[in-house]
Amino acid sequence: MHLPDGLVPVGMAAAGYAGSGALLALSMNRIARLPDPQAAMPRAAMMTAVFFAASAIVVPVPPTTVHLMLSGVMGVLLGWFAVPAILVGLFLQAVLFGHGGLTTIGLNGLIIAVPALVAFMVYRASAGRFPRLAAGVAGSGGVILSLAIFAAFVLLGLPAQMDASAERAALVVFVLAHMPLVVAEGIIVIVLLQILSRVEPGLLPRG
Amino acid sequence: MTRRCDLALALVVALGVLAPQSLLAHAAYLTAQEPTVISIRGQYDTGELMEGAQVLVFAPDNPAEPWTTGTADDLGRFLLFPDTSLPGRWTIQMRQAGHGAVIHVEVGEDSADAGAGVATGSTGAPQSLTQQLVMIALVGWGALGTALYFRRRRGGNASA
Repeated sequence: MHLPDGLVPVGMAAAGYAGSGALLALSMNRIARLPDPQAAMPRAAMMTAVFFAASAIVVPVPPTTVHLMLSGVMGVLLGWFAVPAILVGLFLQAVLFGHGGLTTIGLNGLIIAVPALVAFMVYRASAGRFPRLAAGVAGSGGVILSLAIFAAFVLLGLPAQMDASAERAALVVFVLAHMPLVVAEGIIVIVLLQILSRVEPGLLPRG
Repeated sequence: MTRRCDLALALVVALGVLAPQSLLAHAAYLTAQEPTVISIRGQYDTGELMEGAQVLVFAPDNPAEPWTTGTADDLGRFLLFPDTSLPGRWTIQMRQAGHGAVIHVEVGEDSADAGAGVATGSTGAPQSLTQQLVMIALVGWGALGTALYFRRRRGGNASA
């Protein structure tokens, strides 16, 4: 679910870069305030590799196919580190595989990184009382929010000459095709956190 | 008698020459020209056809306003009949639900040049086996390195 080159107005692509740049600056500022920022570097590096590869893999959801988004997973596991990790992953996907576009990295960054941060905050606020529920909501909610932002960007950048109702109908089908992914990514976050708590607690989110 | 015949003949000729075009027989003129057709086929990197995708066509003289618009058929195809009096690079955009691609096609004044050859436009090349193996190896390497790092750190030997 990446916006490609050539379909988005130039002004919108520039605004995407500005938005992602501001989000990156905010994240780096928050990371710098952490007691030991370097401690989370290996985890961020590993999750960048996971995001880069896993979100490029196609998952068949008949009658169509979808890509993993992992915005919730990235947010829960990395917190503020999710923003640079996602932007690096998107850049590598665009350069190495032509997945997404170079001019739309800013917009695609907002599509994935904003939900990742929201998922991080939701999980941090409610994990103490309802850890599993919080993990599930963060994972599923991240996908839903990514879908909503993607659809909003598509409709905002729609040329006036295009049939808007046909595009809206296509977007509805596209969103419905991602519903299994909404459930799957919620389960992924729950299972992942359970496995990490038993096998490698050092990789668990620390807030 | 001969003079009468000459007069009648002259009258017929004069009427034929001076009569309005519409009074002449149902004359029709046909010209044949080899058509310039450009076939555009859209499909996603997964192989799915872009059935029902919207198409925007931009002529070389106006890249801001579409020259025409249309919809891809059930096979993801769209047939473009460009105006060959507008030679240059035509831009065709096919999109659906925020996904799509842009392709550029050179159209010459000579209809035989138009649409010749095959051009491709894409926003993502299909993944080859090599690419997938590289991705799997990258993830495996990252996971292994991270696991070793944390194992060492837990043992109290980590320097980082």
